[in-house]
Amino acid sequence: MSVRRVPAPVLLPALAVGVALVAVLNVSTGALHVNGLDVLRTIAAHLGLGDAGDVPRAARTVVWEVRLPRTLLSLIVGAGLAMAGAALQGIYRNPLADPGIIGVSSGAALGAVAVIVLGFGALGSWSTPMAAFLGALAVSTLVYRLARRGARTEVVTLVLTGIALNAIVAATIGLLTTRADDQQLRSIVFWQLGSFASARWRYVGVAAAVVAVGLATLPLLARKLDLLALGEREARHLGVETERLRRLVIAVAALVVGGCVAVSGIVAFVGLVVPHLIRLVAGPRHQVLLVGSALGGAMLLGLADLGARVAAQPAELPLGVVTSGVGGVFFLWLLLSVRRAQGGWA
Amino acid sequence: MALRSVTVRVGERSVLSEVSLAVAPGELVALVGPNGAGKTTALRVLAGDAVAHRGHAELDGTPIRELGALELARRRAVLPQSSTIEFAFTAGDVVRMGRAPHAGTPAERLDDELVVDAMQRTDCSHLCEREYRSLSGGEQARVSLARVLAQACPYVLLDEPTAALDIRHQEGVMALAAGLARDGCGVLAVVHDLNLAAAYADRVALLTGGRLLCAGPPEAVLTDELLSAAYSCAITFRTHPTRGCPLVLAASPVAPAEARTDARSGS
Repeated sequence: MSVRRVPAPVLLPALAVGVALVAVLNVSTGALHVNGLDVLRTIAAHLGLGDAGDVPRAARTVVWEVRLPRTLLSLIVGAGLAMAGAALQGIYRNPLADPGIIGVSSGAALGAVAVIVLGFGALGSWSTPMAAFLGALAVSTLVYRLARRGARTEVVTLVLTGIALNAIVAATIGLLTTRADDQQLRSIVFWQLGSFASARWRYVGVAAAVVAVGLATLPLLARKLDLLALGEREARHLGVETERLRRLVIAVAALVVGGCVAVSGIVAFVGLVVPHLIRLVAGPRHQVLLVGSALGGAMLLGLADLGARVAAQPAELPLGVVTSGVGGVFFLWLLLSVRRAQGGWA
Repeated sequence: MALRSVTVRVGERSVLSEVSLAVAPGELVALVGPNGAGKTTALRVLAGDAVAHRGHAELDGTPIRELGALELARRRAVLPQSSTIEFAFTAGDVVRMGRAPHAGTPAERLDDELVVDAMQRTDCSHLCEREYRSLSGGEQARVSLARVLAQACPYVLLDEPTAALDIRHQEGVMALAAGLARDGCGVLAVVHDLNLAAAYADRVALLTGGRLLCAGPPEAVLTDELLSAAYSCAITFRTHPTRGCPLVLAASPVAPAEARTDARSGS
């Protein structure tokens, strides 16, 4: 049986078009409907490329101040999480690895919860994102350092260290929540389920910066990640300095995921499911996988955020409920149908 | 390519003691010996995977610890005992991975040609589009060998290249290894089948209990006395009826308990 795959020159442009469509859909949908043309004219006007003239002021404000940053943030965060997930799965040689495994998510949560409960607010509205970002970097660095012995890390040790630290961090978060009042508890729950509701342009800037770092570095490592699939030793035989590669990928993934989680809260499942889907249709080569995951993640999280906005109008569903709920069910369906078709999981 | 007085310890136990062995360009050296003799360890030291506690491994006169992974990968290829692979790569993808060390060098333009050639020589061209993990053990072994050939290195290390293969492919693979040597490569192969070693190797190195007992032409090493001592098993010889090389046979059945005391996994 030969393997049938969608070639990259078809898949990647198709995904890019999908991302664009989701973007337009997200910006035009809402309590105030704005048609696609007015959306484009508003954007063009803000970029100095024309005059928004007869587009109603309310529409312009909603598009530029609220929906556009929110949409862009969801797309950028989706791209970052999925691409980081794909790279980590490559490094761990394990399709079940997700960004949580290196302690990024729990570290970010610890930082955020600490700020919320202890009321540290010296940086104003930046306090929580900053603490989340630092927490993410601190815990993932700790996981890597603890797993390291004699300048080497082993994947199993790394995974188990991650599990142990995640547990300790979860316990600490639990302890902090016992000191939280009702309002703080609501903030904590809200943060841990992820949301783009408070998206602002400056958050878009932060996420864009870290995801740009990921996009600029990870695809360059694609071929080395491919070789790692053969095994650690085999990859070294083929010229890969495996420890250096692992350190680099973990650092970039921690930066990307940490930056994303800091401005959006924890968005579960995107980093795990999207690489699976892309691998299923395009095969496991990381060059296509990383770029495809970025596009696929953007599209999926854009749609998820749209779902969170419109499913229970006028209220909003927490984003994590949509990604985990829909993602979990979908993943299960995928798992079972692939098992039926192939007799095993790819 | 050589081991210079290499000693490797695991805990207190020496798995290799003072082993010196050189493989020159143009020769196929078969490394033989009973299970647990240290054959794979010797190969790992040469590959740079295991560190010698005393002595060192060298490549063209340079200690290999002074060479980076990429520099080593352009000069020696390694076939491990068995390869599991994560994710659904095709056999063709796997063979092409052998070209990775040459990315960005002038040799890169030979990639397609060498991949096709390697798959033809290992009789696996027809597997190119198949998923590696769906192949049989023998097919996987040949695809892995094709990857090693595609790497096109002057030195080649093969760890039990014939283990998973049927008799036709065993002969094919050993002939291929001998052919590489004729083309100027230095090839070291860990081989369990003494008759394959006898038929194809230029030299045979006999390892037992972590020590190199003897190294030389097959007729000099594959003798009653040396083999019986190394394997703790009575050995008898015939002359191969068509090839004229020694044919090694166990002289009498070995009692199961006796066999068990000598058997150690991982060779």
